[in-house]
Amino acid sequence: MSAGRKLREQLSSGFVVAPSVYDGLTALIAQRAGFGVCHLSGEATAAQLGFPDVHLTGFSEVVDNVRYVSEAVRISVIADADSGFGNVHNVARTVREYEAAGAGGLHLSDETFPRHSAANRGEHLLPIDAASDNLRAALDTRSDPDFVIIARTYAMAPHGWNDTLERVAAYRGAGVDLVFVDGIEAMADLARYAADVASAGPTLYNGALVPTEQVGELGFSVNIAGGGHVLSYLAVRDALLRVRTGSTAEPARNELRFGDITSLLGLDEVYALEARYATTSTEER
Amino acid sequence: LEQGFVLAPGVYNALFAKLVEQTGFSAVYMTGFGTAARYGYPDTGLITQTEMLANLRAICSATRLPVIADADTGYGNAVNVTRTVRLWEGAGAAALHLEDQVFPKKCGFMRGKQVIPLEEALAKLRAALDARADGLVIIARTDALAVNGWDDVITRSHAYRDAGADLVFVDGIRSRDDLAIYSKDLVQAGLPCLYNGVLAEPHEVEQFGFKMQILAGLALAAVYESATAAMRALREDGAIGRVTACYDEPPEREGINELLSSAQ
Repeated sequence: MSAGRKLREQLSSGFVVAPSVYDGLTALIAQRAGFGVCHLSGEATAAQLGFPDVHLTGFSEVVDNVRYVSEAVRISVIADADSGFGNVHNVARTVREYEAAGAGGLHLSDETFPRHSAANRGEHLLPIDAASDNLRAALDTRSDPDFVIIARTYAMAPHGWNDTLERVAAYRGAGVDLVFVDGIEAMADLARYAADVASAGPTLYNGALVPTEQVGELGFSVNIAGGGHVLSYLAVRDALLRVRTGSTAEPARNELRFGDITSLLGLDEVYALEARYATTSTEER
Repeated sequence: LEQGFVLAPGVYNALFAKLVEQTGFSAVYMTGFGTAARYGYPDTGLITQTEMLANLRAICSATRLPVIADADTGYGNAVNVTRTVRLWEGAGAAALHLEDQVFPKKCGFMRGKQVIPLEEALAKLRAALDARADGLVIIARTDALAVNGWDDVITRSHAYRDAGADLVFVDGIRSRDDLAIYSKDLVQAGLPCLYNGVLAEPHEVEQFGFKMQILAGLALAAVYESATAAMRALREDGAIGRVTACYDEPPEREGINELLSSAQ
């Protein structure tokens, strides 16, 4: 079954919660927790490479990460494709590469490329026609018709609801599978998002204003639960500060984690392959 | 290293390397175990030289701290070691460690390790020493403890030091008893040594006379625990406690952005 088909089946079987991951390890942790879909965040991909989220990472670095995450897990991956890394030609290549890398779908935004301002997202939007062209290019390029294309608009923060709704209608008209309005930060906006957008077709909500269950009840198809890399950042910072202040973790717990982590990463499968193919004679010594 | 004991927390991406610098450490360690985990694999030689190099470059670009880098077995024989040393030096590593396992390798704490004969290990070490151009610190790691026991470890450690290794690193120290033997038979015998682990606090490790301690699993363990807890919370309660809070407390998110934007 294609990666697109697999994601589409998840979507058609009901409301999907997709936690954001940023590398193979966090994707494996999401899979083990029982999620059927994970979201690969562009912001977190940039952060782990040491950059803020303003398109300083190269296209191949981003695609590599899509591939590592997709290969690490059996569950579906929705990958952040930013604004497609350029014009329609770049968008077309993005779709081909993400599909080949094993993603089940991607979201494509209506920002200009590269991002003009990290602080003011959506300040520089593509005109609605150019954004729709990008989406049509994406839809025409996919080789697997099941590969899921999600249109993301940043129009909310700079322009408000009128422009947002106009864009949602245009993007849906272009044929995208889901729409995704970014910048929903108040309960009133979430309610309007549900009433005016989610009620009319498949819609993705990226946020945590209400628990995931309620997001589903509001009629959304997908809820991305982001911020995983922020949590990792805090956890690593806490661990470093504990060492600075002279209290490292107790060894017993470290030992336990080692076994858990290696088994999650597939060490048992490696030993099984060794036994089957006699790669090394581990019993020899 | 010349200024005294070096304590290097282990990281496997550029963001965490920046955090090590920000929290006031003087060196950072790039773990092969963590790098493999980042790519979704166990540390059994499945991650290749080019992938390790890509991660090393990202980490070296992200921090001004000296980077002590895992170079596994050097990814082949003495010829491969030559290339690995040049690449690691070119990427900006300040030090690397090279081990005497059979290629492909295993993590130092896994079962099923095998070591190459001492002569071969020495040839690879000499290749590394000859290949460095610019003061790269070469650390010779031995994995012989789990395979052959202390006698062989002691023989190998002295041989590696005599061949010119800057530091010796006995991996797979699993108990305080082994740490005591390591300290007594090698450190106190005058060998400059590296300890990888958390069986003793850094001040203790320094008192034992070690030159360097790496906390290889620090970032990995922290991420593993927090991500596992977060995914469980999301699955069971429909919200990730602290992440949700993060969105309400922009300073934490801004903390990351500030860190990422900070001048090198």
